[in-house]
Amino acid sequence: MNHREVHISSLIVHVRPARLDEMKVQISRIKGAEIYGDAKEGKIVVVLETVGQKYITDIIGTINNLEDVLNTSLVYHQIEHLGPSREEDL
Amino acid sequence: MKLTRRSMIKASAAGAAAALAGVTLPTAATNLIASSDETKIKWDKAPCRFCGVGCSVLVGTQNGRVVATQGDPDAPVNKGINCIKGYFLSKIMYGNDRLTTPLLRMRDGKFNKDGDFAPVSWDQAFDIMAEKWKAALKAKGPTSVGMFGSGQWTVMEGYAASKLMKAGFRSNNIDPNARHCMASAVGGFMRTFGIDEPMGCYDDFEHADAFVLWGANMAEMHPILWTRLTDRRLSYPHVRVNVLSTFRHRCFELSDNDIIFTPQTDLAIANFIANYIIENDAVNWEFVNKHTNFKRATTDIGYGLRNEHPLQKKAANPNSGKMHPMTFEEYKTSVAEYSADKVSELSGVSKEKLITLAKLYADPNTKVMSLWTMGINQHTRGVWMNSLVYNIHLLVGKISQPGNSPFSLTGQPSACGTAREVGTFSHRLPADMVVTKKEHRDIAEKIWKLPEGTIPAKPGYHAVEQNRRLKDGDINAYWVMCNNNMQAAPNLMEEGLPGYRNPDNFIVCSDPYPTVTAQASDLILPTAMWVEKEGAYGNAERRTQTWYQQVKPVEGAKSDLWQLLEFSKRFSIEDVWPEELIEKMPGYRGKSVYEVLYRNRQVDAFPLSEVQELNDDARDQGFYVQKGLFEEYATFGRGHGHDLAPYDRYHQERGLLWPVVDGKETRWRFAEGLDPYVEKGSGFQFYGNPDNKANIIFAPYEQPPESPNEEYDLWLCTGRVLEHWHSGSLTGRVPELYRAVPDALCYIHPEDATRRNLRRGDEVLIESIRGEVRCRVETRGRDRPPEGLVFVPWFDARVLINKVTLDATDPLSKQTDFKKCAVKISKV
Repeated sequence: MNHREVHISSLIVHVRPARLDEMKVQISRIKGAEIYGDAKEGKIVVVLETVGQKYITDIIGTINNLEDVLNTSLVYHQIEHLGPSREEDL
Repeated sequence: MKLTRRSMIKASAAGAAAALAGVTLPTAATNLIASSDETKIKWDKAPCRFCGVGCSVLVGTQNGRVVATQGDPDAPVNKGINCIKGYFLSKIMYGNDRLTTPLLRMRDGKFNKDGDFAPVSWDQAFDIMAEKWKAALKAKGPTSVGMFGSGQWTVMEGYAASKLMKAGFRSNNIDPNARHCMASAVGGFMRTFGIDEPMGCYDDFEHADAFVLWGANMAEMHPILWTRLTDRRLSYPHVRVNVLSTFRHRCFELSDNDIIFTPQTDLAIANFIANYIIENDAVNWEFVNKHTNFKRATTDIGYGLRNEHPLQKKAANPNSGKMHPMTFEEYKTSVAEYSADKVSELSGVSKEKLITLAKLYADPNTKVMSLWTMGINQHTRGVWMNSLVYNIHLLVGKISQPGNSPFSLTGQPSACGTAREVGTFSHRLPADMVVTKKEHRDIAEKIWKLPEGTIPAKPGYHAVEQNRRLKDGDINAYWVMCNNNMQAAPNLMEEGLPGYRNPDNFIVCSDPYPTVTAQASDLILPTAMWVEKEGAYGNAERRTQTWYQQVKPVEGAKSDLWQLLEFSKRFSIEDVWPEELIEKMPGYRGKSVYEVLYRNRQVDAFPLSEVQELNDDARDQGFYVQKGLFEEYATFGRGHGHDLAPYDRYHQERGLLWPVVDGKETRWRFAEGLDPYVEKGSGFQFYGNPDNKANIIFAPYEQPPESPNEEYDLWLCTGRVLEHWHSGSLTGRVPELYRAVPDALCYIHPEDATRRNLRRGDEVLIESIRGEVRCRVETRGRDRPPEGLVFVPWFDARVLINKVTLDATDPLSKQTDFKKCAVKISKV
């Protein structure tokens, strides 16, 4: 696998509403996962950025295995071949 | 804040998820989305390539490659979300070992069954194929050629293949892999309602008060529908989820009523519920009297094994689907023996749990959605079992209304659209018609502009029978397309492999990848897939969806449709039809099969001017071949309850549920006001049957063909996992999915493991009387079997569990029971 292949993806994580805050703390501790927003019904928007051997599925697995996580829905997935030089394209 | 390309993409990704979840993002993130140029990706819609749920995805292409996917926010099915497989769709076409040239087994420059695969041109490939087909037809006639197709074919491909086999070669030996997954469901629908496919739709998820999973593991196999079910359960606390299975799986995390039953006893549980409804005076008499008939199935019908098998010989009425009328009183007496006590003892389920379940169905104020897939369909009494579930819903009138829905789920993207609706089964024709009825053949021959008597009246060989007939040397020229049946079919060592390697047979396999089936064949054809071509799929809720070609195929690969049409050009009508048939339409004399079937001023009626810029199949034929095939096919069902919209409309919609009447789709069938085919004042009409009534069909509990004994002391159940789809030929090539679940494991109860001196991770030998396979045991994890049962998924080509399974089928549907046979396990 190309070490510069970057995967950017987003998820909706469904958790037990009463445990929302605690779950946010736990998810934010996972390397490669960032929380972009949440809703009190128990939904957390998480964005993942993974490079090289760090696979998206590992992080999703880790999130799924957290107690009080009921479901993970995946929304967006993009593969980018980015080098440091192209970071400044914009 | 520095605007990097990466942060832009991340903001887009977050924005897409937030919009669906109803989450408001901080303004900084929103601003980023507004200023994004979407990173120059071209987006277009396509239904997902995998399961029968039929999610729509937005496919992002850049420089001729698929680089991104997004759940389609406009799609009613998945409302913008994806499962893990759909998430990685962008990678399925780019596995390292994608096939780019036809490969023929050769020695000394010539075909040799024992030779090694060597590249040949498409011309050479079709030359040898045509030679073998012509030789077989000449020596033994039409029944010596066969085709095994797919619920993953596009609608047009299935239709073209069916026409080629049934009208061109005049052989009904065409069957889809959907025989392994949906045939019992079809049998149940036809016997109960006289018309195939569910009456309800996915909107039932948002209306039901109770869900009953009959053997289905939706959390892994239908994850998007499971998300909708989860949403409903969590948003409405009164909602109850009941999970019936022979082992614990992920769905139990949401379950309110866990029911682990002994294999085969679902028959008894269903009859118990019917009995409970009657005993507790919960029958909806108005509905039952007006809209149902009572019938009794013929019993002791065998197990769909070879005729000489002792179990077949022992059966009093082998393969009999005959039904007999009965009165309600007789029905009541028949189910009366299924008391809570008796069924609890038989099934191993507590009386309390059985009664909790039955009460939900009996309560007139609880809307119930029943859901099932392979647990009921892959069952030697699968057709009976489908009807037993309908019986329950019919007794209480909980059907054809939002939330009251017996719902048969499917496993493949077009099991409904292609296999069932087009009728690519060995006994079927389009729109639920069958080859055995003269009036149905007449209709098909008329639409196809063919002489009377073209289509043979005798059903062809079904999936399991095809492997047996290959072994016996009755089928000699055989084409496997768009599936991996060597890995998928039961009893591989005794039936499948000997059939393919029989020196009398020539086996062709079309696939994008070198699957187990491809490697067992004699000629491999490299195949274009999914958005490398234009196509249409039909999902489990009767939703027909189309897509445009979005990238050029991988160099060298050609679509199934192209392969079928080009092959048909190799035959003159004199090669395939007898003189007396040609005499009835002498105009066809001297023409090719291609000209007779596909240049009939219907299939070729639409010009290239209507075609998208990228449409290789159409440009290769010189006309809009997908539209022509679709429109000719659609004439079978229009005005007969199977109405499809004009082809072009589907490209503007996220699919439509048939029947589409006056431009409007039908979400619930058979109910007045919801279904345009139901007459005013009737309430309900089950118009698939001549008397507009549905059949409540009694069938008893009968023993499975094989149960654990002293030596082979465990039940084996096979199935699937979330990360892989079917045989893993696509998902196994996505590094992320492969790495997530690389190997098939044998899930076993810790006590059963201890008893055999096994520790988690040990390698074991799994043996049945038919074959053996090695794999590692897992005592924890997502699947937790009870004592006495093991579960092994079948996606792993290195753990070919079908070496072990039994080729017993439902005698009516001919669908294999992959869920129960007897095995023993020992440490290696």
